[in-house]
Amino acid sequence: MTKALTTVATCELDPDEGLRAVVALRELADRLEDEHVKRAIGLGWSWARIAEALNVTRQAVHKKHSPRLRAAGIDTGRNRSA
Amino acid sequence: MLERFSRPARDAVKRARDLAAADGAGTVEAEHILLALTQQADRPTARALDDLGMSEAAVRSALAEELTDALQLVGVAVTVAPRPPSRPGRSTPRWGQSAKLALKRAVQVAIDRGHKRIDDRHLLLALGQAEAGVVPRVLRMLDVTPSDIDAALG
Repeated sequence: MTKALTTVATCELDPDEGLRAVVALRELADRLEDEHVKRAIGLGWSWARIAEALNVTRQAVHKKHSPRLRAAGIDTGRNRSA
Repeated sequence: MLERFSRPARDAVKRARDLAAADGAGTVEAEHILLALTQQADRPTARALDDLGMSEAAVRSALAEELTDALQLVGVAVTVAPRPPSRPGRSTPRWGQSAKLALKRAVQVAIDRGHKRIDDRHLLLALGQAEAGVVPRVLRMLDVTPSDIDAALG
């Protein structure tokens, strides 16, 4: 079942709840990104492919995720195809 | 601003940034300061938090529950697991608004109480003063009021 965005925004939630949900959705997006970048790297995806899928530059995605993945002992591949 | 912070307060601030980095958070927020305070086990502030039922594990559970509830508001039905206790990460996230406000309020709390230095207890009192956001909801969830915090700090 889907609802119009304006219905949710104006009829069902007050601004306090709505803004709370916005913050939560940002965190959900961050967490989903972390999980799926980790999986993609595990599957041998290149940083360039991940970057394209996320609509960001390769440098941005590498800078954001490679320290965390390396700290978790995941090979982020110096020789991974750029 | 940090030059007037005591050593433990500075340690908490640094630790908050490290915890945010380890969590993969884009910004350091008030909840990271709260988690940092729970981790400084040798400090009276951490003991007060423990007495209030706010161990690191309890805070992380409440944070996950808060996030799950907030997502429900817009029909996203996922259960978010608490993040595991984390070790310092390596990236350096920016300071988010809720954390900046907490630091400013800590300075004011110290001034109001006639203290020259800003200590880690002032950070905790400042977190208790937030009116909107994740930390006040987590405090309500754990049934902790600002005056409970004041009393626990003695």
